[in-house]
Amino acid sequence: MGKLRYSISVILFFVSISFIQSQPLVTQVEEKMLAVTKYMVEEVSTNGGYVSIYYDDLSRRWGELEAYESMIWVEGGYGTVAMGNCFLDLYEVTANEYYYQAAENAGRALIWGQHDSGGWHYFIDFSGERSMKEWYRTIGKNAWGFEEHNHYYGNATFDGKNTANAAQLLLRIYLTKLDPQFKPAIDRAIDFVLASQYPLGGWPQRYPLKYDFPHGELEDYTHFYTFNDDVTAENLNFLIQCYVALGDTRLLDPIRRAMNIYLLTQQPSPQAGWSKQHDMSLKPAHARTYEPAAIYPDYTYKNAMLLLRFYELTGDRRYLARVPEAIEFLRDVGQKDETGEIVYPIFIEIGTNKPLYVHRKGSNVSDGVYWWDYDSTNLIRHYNGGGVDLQRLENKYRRLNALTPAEASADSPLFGETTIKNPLQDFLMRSDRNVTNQVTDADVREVISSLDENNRWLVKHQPYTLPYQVSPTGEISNTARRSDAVGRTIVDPSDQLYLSVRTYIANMNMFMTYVLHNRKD
Amino acid sequence: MRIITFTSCLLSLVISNASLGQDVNQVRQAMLKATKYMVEEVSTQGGYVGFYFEDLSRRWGELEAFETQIWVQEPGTVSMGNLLLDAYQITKDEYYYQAATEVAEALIWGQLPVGGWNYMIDFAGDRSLREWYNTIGKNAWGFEEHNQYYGNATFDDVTTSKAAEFLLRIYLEKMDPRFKPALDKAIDFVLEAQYPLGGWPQRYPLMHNHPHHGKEDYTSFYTYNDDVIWGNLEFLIDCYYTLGEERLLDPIHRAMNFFIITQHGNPQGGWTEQYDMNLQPVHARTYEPAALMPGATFRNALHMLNFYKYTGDRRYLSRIPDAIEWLKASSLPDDQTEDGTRTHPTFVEVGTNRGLYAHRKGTGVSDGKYWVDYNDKNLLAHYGGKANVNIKLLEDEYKKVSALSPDEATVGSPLKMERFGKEETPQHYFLDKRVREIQVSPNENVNDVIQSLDERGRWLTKNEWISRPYAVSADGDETNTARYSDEAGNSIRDTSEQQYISVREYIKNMNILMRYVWTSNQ
Repeated sequence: MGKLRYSISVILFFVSISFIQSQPLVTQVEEKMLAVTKYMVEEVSTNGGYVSIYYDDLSRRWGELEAYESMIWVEGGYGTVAMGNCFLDLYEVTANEYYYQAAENAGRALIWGQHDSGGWHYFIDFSGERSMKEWYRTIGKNAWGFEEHNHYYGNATFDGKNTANAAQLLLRIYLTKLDPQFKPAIDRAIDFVLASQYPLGGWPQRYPLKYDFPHGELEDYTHFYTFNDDVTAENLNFLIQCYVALGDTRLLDPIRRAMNIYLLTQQPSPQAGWSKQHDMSLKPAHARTYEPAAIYPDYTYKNAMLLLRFYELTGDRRYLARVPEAIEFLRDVGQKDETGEIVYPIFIEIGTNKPLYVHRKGSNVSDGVYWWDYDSTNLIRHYNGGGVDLQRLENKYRRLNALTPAEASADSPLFGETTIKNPLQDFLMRSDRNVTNQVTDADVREVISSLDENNRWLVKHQPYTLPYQVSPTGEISNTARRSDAVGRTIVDPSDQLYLSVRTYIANMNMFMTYVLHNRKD
Repeated sequence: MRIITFTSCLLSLVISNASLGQDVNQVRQAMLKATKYMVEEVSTQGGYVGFYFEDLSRRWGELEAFETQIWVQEPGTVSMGNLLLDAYQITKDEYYYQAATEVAEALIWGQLPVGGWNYMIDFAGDRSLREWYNTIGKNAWGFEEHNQYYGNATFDDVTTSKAAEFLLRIYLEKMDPRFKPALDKAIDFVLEAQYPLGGWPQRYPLMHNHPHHGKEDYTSFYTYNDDVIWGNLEFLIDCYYTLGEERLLDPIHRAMNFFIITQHGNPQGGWTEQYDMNLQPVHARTYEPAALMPGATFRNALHMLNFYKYTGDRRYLSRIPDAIEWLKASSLPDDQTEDGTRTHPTFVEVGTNRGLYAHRKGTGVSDGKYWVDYNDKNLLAHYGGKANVNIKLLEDEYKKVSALSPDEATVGSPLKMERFGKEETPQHYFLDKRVREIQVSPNENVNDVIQSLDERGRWLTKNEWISRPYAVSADGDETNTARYSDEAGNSIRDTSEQQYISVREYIKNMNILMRYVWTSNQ
């Protein structure tokens, strides 16, 4: 479950039109793009893959936690998948084969690390499973609050869209040149997504199913139906993408079933919302020790918005039937904050509609404890709820409810239409922002000038961790990212220089925007 | 699919005191005499059809049957088997148990390799069955489910689920393990045939090879019609209750959830009897258009109330008000209620709430034609053109059930996790339950029943619904082998003096006698 969210998609959307003749600068930008990328590919990558942050001398490195040198991170914003997508963006903008090959290398690293079952783990270790087990025994196990990394399951995960995003990257590479080297891995990934889908249409967080890591009284949560981090939504989106791109009608039934799980898990009024996890009887369920079984307003909002989208995908009014109840629930639990703004608690207690608040005390996995109660002070800060825009939900509901099924589903990718331009788009339309980028010559010059002599952007003050250590008295360090008592991140205060994948991608996006906009074709 | 739907749930009645005083031994003797005739003179390898000419020269299940055939679909072999076990439980006479085991043996002989059953079993085997379909089955106009040989098993009319339930019952009676393999096979079949979302097709393994009049073969659609889904669900609940297998819980819950996801969107929050793979209302036979059905809506809504009682999960109640609202909105105007006897069209058009009505013309499968339009005159008589739905009853039940807390609602739920609190084992509790619920009409007199038994041990009847024998005329026309009816589909009974042996009559009379014996035992 990722705590940081990066947008990995490049949004090529412009409002400004430059009238300045800037061909020389464009050429310079294109040269720099290649030089910077060459450094990442030839000096930084591990067998084609990446983690998120490195010391400038590559002597330490991190994904969501500190990683071994033999490891690459799969998950969304943390490394290999994000880099692979960036390389493909670069290839699309420049048509330079170097970028395609960099993406191909990332794809090959992912294929090396594809789990036997067809999915992916959070990371890949080129030293193999024995090295992974060692990592879990030391760093993983002792990362307080990172409960998803505390135990080695030996299976694959959908958390953080991990498996879906890896499979989507492979699909994207495959669709670029239809190179059959990628096809078997994609087929296996699709089969994995199908095999792991519960009959009622939802997905567990991890698969093959495991039950061997309960937390105290709390049952192992990884087999529950999981909405958290878009596990279900992204798998559904991936299957729609595959249906559109590959035209395989056997995917239609799983697609429909995935939509139906949203109907089945909506709780009865007066608490007609959803949790982030539902147990096998479809009731709200806990996850990590700071995620109680409760109704989650943010996921209620998200899922209700998805139901509206499903009406557009299918023209089936069943998906609208109980959205008004969800709206009513959200209205019931919204609270005014000090500024008069309506805010939504993260957790709503089942049966009472009271907000629940999570706290923690301690300093590591052995003495640390999380708990929840009704006290709204002294909250943990490393776990936040998502946004709720009730007005938007209501407006959209009203608008769609007034449409006939045929009108609503006129543009559905599930009906007839065979020429959809971008089969890798978000068919669930989850983002409501139209980001507009404006890149000036000055912006570009400044970013270029901040490169060092090795064509790298080095940054300071990154989130970091203590190395795994055992003290003479037998105490083990907390290997989680450093944070204060309530979980606020503490960045490295020293002058240590870091190489950051995120910085690289952000600057590449800026360059690409600039190039697309200023080059003379 | 049975053409006329019987209400399976009769009112519970008390035997009239006037008839008490009859010698119980005399009643038991009459029971045994009548049963011996059925078992020793009428049965075919332990199995039965619905009724026979008194000299057994012709016989019928839903259609005319060969002498080598027994009918699984009721009334026939399964209803006889259950009656025999009822009689055994009440009298403890081994003769009845023995006869019931013969019924079970016949069913096991005819269990398909996949684990389910067809409507009938033919002891002359597949080639004889094909011959039947090629003659009688094919030419039975309006009986489209019998017009072709699929070679698979059917859930229609609870054929497979009731056969399987009978095996469960006879197994539990003495826990004789010879019945267990067939029972296990039947359970596995029901599980395998269930779609992931929890519904069942009408037939399984899935076949698509008999489209009707340009419409897709309907037998693979999700099917509520004639209790396909409910029958399988009830069977699985009984198995869970008596066999204690937890693996059955997930299929049970999925089956109940299927009712939630098939409820139509507003403003037409009802159900129909078949759904396509996209969960949209879809056609079945040529007189069953893709439409919403008030009758099915009423029944499914009542099932949902029960699901709340099974689970305490209020999701099952969430959209009952939507269903009630739709039933009100789709009611017939006063001038179309057939003098107040009907409340709704049988079929209501999706999107418009207009009534759809089926009609037919012709005389047989070759010239006959069914069609559907908006005209409510000249309705098809063998499949009610209009329905009678008691909205008030549904509303009252909803109010009553909805007022219960989950804990109150689930008292006595067969699915609730708790220690069994009764004095007997769950197995015996289950077995006795059926006998406790034997129902008879209040006007029946034990003495009359005994008197009407003839010297050979038969209760003969007249005026049954029969059919013409299969024949080919000189110019090559085949007879319509459906039960006699007029052009609109009104059944025509045999008006002659022909006498019949009827399984239904036997069961009805046996119930009166058994009820008497049971009451005397108490």
